[in-house]
This record gives sequence, C-alpha cells and structure tokens, in this order.
Amino acid sequence: MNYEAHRVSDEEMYFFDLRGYLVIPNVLSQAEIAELNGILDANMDRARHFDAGRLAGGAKALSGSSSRVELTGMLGWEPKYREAFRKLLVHPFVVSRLNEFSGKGFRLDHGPLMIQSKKGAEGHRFHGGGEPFSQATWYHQQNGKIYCRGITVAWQLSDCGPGDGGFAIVPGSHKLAEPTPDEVRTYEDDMGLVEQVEMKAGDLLFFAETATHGTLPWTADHDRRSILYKYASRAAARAVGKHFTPQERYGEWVNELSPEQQAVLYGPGVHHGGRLPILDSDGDKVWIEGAASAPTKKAKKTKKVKKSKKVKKPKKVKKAKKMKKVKKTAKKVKKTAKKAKKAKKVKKPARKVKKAAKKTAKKAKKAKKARR
Amino acid sequence: MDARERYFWDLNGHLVVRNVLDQDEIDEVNEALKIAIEGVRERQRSGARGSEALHGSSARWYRGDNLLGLPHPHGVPFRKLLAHPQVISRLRVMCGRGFRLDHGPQFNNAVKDTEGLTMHGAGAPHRDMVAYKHQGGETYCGGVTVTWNLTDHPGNGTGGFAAVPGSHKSDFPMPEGVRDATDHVGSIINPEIRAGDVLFFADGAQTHGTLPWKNDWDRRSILMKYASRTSTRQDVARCVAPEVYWDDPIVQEMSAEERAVMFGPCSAPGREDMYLTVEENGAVRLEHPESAQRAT
Repeated sequence: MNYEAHRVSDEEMYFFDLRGYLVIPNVLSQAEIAELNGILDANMDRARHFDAGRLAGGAKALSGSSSRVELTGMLGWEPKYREAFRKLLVHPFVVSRLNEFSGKGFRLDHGPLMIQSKKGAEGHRFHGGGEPFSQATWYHQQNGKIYCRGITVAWQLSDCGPGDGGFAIVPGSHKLAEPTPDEVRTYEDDMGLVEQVEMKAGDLLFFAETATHGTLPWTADHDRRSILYKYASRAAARAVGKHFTPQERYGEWVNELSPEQQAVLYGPGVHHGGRLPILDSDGDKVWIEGAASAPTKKAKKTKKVKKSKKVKKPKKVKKAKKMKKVKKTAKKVKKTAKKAKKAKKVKKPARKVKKAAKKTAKKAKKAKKARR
Repeated sequence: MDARERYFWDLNGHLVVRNVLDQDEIDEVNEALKIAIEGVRERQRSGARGSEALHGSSARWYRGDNLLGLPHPHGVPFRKLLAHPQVISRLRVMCGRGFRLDHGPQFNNAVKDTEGLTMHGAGAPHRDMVAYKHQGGETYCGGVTVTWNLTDHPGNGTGGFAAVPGSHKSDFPMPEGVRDATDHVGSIINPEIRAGDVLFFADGAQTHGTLPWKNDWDRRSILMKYASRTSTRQDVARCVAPEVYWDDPIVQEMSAEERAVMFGPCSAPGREDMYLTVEENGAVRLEHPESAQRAT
C-alpha cells in the first residue's frame, strides 16, 4: 500500500473501518526516532513508576514482574524538549487521517503519555468494546463517512516483533453490540481473537478507543517505548480540562443554587476523578447519588424485582396450601375408591345371573332326562 | 419513563409529558418572565429564510442575562425547572447518567403572525455530539431540549413547535421541501401542547422547527438545552480557549496549527481557527489562515 501524508487512501479507510486500527509504517525517520528517544532518556527522572498488578487487574495470563513506566506533560516542557512532541501533535499523517476518522476540528482530549516497559513487564487487561455502549468513544459509520469520537494515535519508538507482547486488539470489536466475555478481557481464553500488532520503530498506530484493546506482557530483551496522543472529535470530551465546575463556567452566583441544581451545570467529560455529582429521580424527588438524601436501597426498585411480578408467599401460607392440596387429593382418592367399589358390586349381579342361568340350564337338562 | 413513553420517544424522537406544572407554578414563571420580556428583541436574520409556508413578522428572542442568574427572587422559578424531578427522571433515560445543561435557558416568545423557523436537525448528515442511538435496550441521545410551555399551543397548523417524527433515525439527507415546509408530504406535525406540559425532543437529531404563530395569545416557552455527559452543543461564545482549558506551560507559544487542536470541546460551527488541512507537499496549515490573525 502507498501511504501519502496529505490524504487517506480508500484502502486505509477500508482497513480502519473493518478492524478498528491502522498502522502506517515508517512515518518517523531514524533521526527523528533518535531525537525523541534522546529527549525522553534525558527526562526519565520525571517518570512515574508503578507496582506490578496495576494494569493486569488480576488477570493471571497478563501478569508480570513489573509495570510500565509513564511520562506526561511533554507539551509543556522546556522549549528545547517540548518542540519535538508539539511537532507530533499536528503531524501531517495525523492531521490528514484524523480529519477523516474523527472529522475536521478534531481536538487533543488528553496526553501525550509515554509508556515504557522492560522485559517481564505486565500486560494491560483488555478494555473497551462496542457493548456496553460508550458515547464518549462511539464509532459510527454512515453514508461512506467515519465518525470516531475517541481515537488514540501511538508513535512507536521501539520494535514490537511477533510474540514480543505490547499492543494487542480484538479486530472488529469497535462495532460490537454484544458484551465481551470476561475470559477475553483477562486473556484466559481469547478464542483466538486477540491480535498482537507487529510494528517497527517509526511506525504510527491509530486505533478506535472503543475497540477492545490492551497489551500483552512484554517479553523482548529491549524496552518497549511508545507515545500516545488521545484525540476526540470536535464536540466530544473524555477528560474534563479546566473550566469544569459550575463556578468556573458560570460565575459565583451559582452558589445560590441547590447542590442538585448545580449538578447539571458541570462541563463535559468523564475523567473527573469523582468530582461530578450525579443526579437521579423517581419523578417526585431529585437526589444526588450516594448523598444522605438519596433513598435507601430497599426503597429503590431493581430490575430483578420488576421482572418477577409474583410475590413470594411466606412459608406458613405455603405449608397450609400444601396441606389443602394433600387433603383434596385424599378426598379424590376416597371418591375413586368408592366408585370402584360400587362398580365391583354392579359386576356381581351379572356373574350371579350367569351362574343362575347355568344352574337353570342344568336343571332343565336333568328334567328332560327324567321325562324320557 | 415507563414502557409507553420509551416506545413513543424511540419511535418519534420527541415526547410530551402532560400537566407537569400546575396553574400556580405557571403563574410563578410568567411573573418572573416579566423581567425577561423587557429583554426580548426581534431577530435580525429571518428564521423563515424566504419560505412561503413559514413567513411572518420577525421572530422574537430573549437576549438578556442568563435567566438562572437573575437577582433573587426572579431567578428562582427557572432554577426550579432546571432539576425538576419529571425532567431528571427522563433525561437519565434519554441522555444517560451525568447529563448536563449545555446552554440556556432560552425564552421563546411569539405574537400573532410571528414567522416560523425552517426545519433543522436530522439523522443525516450524522452529527456525533447530538446523534441518537439505541443499543441493548437503552437509548443514548447526545442532545435533548426540554421545553416548558407556559401558554397553550393548540398545534394542528396553528403554529409553534413542529417536527418530523422518526427523523432522528434517518440515513438520508432532508429534502428542501421539508426544510422550508413547502412540500413535506405530511411528514411535519404540529402537536398540541398545553400550558404546563413539558416537551422533550432530540435536538439536532430530530428534524424540527416552528410554524408561524396564528393564535391570538402569545406563545411563551422556556427551553433548557441539555447534553449527555461527553457531548457539547455549545455555540462559539462558550468554546473554551486553549489558554483557559489547559495549564499555561502546555499551550505557551504554540503555533496557530498546534493551538487549533487544543480548544475545549464545542460544536463551534462559526469558529475557523480550529480546522487544519494538509497540503500536497505535506505541510499542515489552518484551513482559514486569516482566522489566526483574527484570534490574536
């Protein structure tokens, strides 16, 4: 396939729509790869280190002896460091593809994030999938156009060969309407669906956030390293950014509103770190989930209760009903026995008649003999 | 929302809930609106856009302070509507948990012979921030407008809210005869809505507009524009600039092209400094380079 910086080929559109991801090879030159790696090496003191288990989430097949290392904030580093990452932010291959996949006016939602893993590092439990539906990352295709609300662009700074581990995806899962089995998410039994994507340093990966994706434990001798930029369509938001609270958005007068009224005045986004109060209502009252004023769990009808309209009868009533049944059955048996007895009596006369008839015939024969 | 309401909503893209406000509550809002009436102005640009079926006198829109922020006690009636139980319970189903007020409230006012507004919004072309989706027994609507009706709206051709039922699911572009209501083969309805009723409609997904107001009394409604948690429908005035959205060092001294992808989320149809293109030689530039100078 021939890849051009300024436009997306029909083949690329086909493969991205079909599989939910696309790799464009050799976007970065060796010099660019070296520059980026050099800058990152010089700033590893800013990196965050985590304990193993954070990403595998209990999945034995994805566990490892360490976790990945992360770096953020690169766009705001000192000028001598930040420019290389700002260049990637609006790289021509990124702009042309995102204009098609997410629509013109796409935006950076959060990131960039550098991830780095040593040999033996854990994988990342598989997440995403078309069901349950996520409006934040919805993938839609209509009339020949793609609308991908959440898309990640990952610059590869090291090779990912066959069996090395690293980024993996369930191709086509961005269009799922059925839930993903847990054993696929934990990689215990992926039904042969998970694909570890092979890439070389300098390649550029695009994947739909809503596709089921994760990473496999890193087994290569060299470190895995990539930089992830998380984009969104123009009017979509996952991260909340600044200007999120009602006070920031409307002004201090909102403090006169009740907590429930304020709850609908927050900005968009789901990565709010629990700062967002969520409203609920039964049509008569409004409350904030988890607040003291929220109704207790007993009062709230659950789907299970709604489904089974039959109310469970208490044991005593059940026993009494059973006894009633038993008595009824016994009565029936008695009635049947009586009937059977009556039937037997009715049968006797018939036999008697037969016997009598035999007797009479015998008598008649004897009488005839006597007359001779 | 019970099964009947879910059915109606999914089928049509709108829903009228009867008798939500009693007469006292209607009077309370109308009293508070006396201040807002002073802020009503005739719209400069015609909403009928030359349509013979929609023409009339200039539309009347409120252009004052946010009604929610009016000095006490004038803002109180509108605040009560903002998180009304009958609205919250339905928006949780229509938009999902964590829905938000995107913009508004908006006060719509019409007098006899006020013009209509051309039909707008549709399932195609797809607009992801307001689109309607049904999956797994649940509905997901990016944008829902809740309209509180303070006067009777007899409908049936006498004016006010009009819609094309089912259009929130259309996959074909809207014909011109529907847009200007001159040739819509009966697809446009003008439902009856009474004072105190609440109208919900899939704004942006369902094709809707207004017909010229023919009644002797004013049309008065308060529109609250809600969105799902991760969608924005904001107009350009409320699109958050990069310098406000991100910490200073992140966007400091960014080029116009870099800055273009750093705005907060918004539908921003009129803002040009957010759109990038790639030239044949691989250079990235703003689609409208002059917009960068205007922005500075």
